[in-house]
Amino acid sequence: MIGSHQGLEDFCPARFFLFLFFGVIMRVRINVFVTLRRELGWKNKIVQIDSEKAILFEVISVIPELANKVFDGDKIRSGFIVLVNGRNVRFLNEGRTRISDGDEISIFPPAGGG
Amino acid sequence: MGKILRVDLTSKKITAEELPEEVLKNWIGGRGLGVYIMLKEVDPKVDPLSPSNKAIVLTGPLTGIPGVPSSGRWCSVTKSPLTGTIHDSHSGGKFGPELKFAGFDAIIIEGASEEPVYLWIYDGKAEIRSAKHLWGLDTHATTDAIKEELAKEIGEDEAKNIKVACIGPAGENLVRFAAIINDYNRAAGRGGHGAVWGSKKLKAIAVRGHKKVPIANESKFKEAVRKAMDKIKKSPVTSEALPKLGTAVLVNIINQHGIYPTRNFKTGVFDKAEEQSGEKLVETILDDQLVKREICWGCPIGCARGTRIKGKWTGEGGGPEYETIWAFGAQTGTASLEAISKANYLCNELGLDTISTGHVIGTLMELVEMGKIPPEKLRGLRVEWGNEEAIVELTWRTAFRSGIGNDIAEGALRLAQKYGAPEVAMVVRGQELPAYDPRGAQGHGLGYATSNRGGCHLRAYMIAPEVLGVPELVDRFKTEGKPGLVKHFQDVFAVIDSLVVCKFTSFAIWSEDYAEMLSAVTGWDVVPSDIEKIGERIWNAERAFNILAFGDGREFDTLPKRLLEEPMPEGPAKGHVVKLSEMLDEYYKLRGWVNGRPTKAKLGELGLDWLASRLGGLLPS
Repeated sequence: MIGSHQGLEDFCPARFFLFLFFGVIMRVRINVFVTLRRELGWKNKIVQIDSEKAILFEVISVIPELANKVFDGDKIRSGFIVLVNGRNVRFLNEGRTRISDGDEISIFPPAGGG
Repeated sequence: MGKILRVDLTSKKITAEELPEEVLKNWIGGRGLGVYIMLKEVDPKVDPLSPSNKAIVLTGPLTGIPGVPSSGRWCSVTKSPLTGTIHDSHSGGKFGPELKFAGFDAIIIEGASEEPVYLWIYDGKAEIRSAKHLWGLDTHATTDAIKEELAKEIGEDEAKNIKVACIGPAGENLVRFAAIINDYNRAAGRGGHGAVWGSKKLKAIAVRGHKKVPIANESKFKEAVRKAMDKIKKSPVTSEALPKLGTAVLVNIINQHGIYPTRNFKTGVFDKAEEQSGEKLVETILDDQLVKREICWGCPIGCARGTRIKGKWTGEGGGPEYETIWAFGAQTGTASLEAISKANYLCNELGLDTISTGHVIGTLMELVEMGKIPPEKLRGLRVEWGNEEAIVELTWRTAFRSGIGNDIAEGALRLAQKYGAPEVAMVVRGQELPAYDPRGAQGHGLGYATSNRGGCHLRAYMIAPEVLGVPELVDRFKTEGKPGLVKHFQDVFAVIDSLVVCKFTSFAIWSEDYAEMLSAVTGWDVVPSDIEKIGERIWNAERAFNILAFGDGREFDTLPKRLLEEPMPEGPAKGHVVKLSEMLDEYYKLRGWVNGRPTKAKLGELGLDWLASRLGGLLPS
């Protein structure tokens, strides 16, 4: 099974091919905003993880320069907004939030306005 | 402090008055003092556009004092022609401090002139001058013409530093959401204060002065300011995000939370948000020189934007801010930052509130989609979601009440009522809602519903705790604890508006810091609990004005049906509505209110017995 939420109508030959060769591959989109874009030099990336299960900390750690900015040890730095599918992970399980195939992670450094 | 200039435009009489210190201690300045003066001097049932309404221009005790963070603002208080409520509207720039340097803390404008006039205040002296030659001009031309005219009398160097607040054609044409524009591009935007000036034939107020604002306790002041500035420098919001990206930083944040109101609040996700984001603005149209010109007096944050656009739309000016980007952007389904900026420049020049203008254009688009607007009314213009030509053309048509612009000029509620679909007016107390869909921020919904001046995000900016995590993150989908937070924010913000300091400082400092600065400047002994009490007094006084004006109460503390009954269709807030009924009773209980009205005991506790007697049988028994 390639990602539990996908039905047959979402069948993708390329991903099925990857599955045959590598087993379960999870793809997660990471979006960064505000000053992080200039600091990192990109707006979004697709991260692939060779596993069926992963937690947020592991997913972000695939990009070490991002992980250094977002995490202090395994804790999310004060003021950072980290959303998984639009839900702030502080109301999920913080760095241990379970990430599934197809999830979207959005990361904002401290920001405000009005 | 407490020096008031009273200007009667009917008799052309000008007098200076001093307010008793006791009044200032109870109401501070700005919004609070304005509400007090309105209650004392104006019948709340007054027609807002009649000579009996008053237009009050106010500064606060901290205005124009070097070192106080973000104290370059001013405030206008009147009865709003848009909402029929008591109404305060605020603006940045440099006008507020200059009024103080000219020797006055506030101006009460009463009556109405038969011919257009402007007021010129120079180092403690004031005169009413003809503005016949200025009537019809936009705000930029008016400002330049006044400076040129006065340069002949006071010299060019001195005239360069004159600060002008004025109205454009929108105010003259009594557009119900006409703004007062100062320093070219800064707006006391909301609530139609520009139309009140227009009804009085007051085109402008020009000020210039050299006085220094006195400080009661210099050493205490230095210490209080140092502490406040330290916090502002340490906060990543006030030292990083706002200076670098301005308020537009919120476009992506709010959209990613699924509460960026799109196509008149039909949904909370706009697929083109990235194209109008703060990040995109910095990459494309931001102009560093223009930014420097736009930054407010004495502000260490400097969130102002100055932009230049080329191509299909051309021009340069102040803005666009987050709210403006939303109003002309997602609210109308429009992506282009250039078209949004063009509409923004037109609003500044013609004297319109960007939030209401963009918002009402979105309302019209929904009415057109529903087939409610006879096609001949649109004169061939394609008024449909995402058409950038429409937002620019409808903006100038609104200011001149041209064609369908005459209906837009009446605001979303009157427009939707006229064309038989009042349910599409996304308003509270007649004021168009701003750029956050409260279905994904419950406390923010309660803030909208209970706002005394009508739909407003800045009475109880619950987005700070519910989305941005300031001071601490709370669950935006829950209702528990929200009434207490809303009340607390409403009360403290009422005081910030009365100190006439920028609310953005509150991302870093709070009651204790404001209390310390106020104590040092005035010599009073103000503690944080006093701040909350004064805020509560102001909030109750505003509600009292509204009760006397139109019977305000529970039936007005509500939201458009769409937000209460239609679940958000998609995105991170999918399935949610605002659960207002879960919060309202607790809010009333915390306020000491019954059905949206204060009890006699509550008014007594706040030192407002005189108001309780006036309200009499209108108060709950």
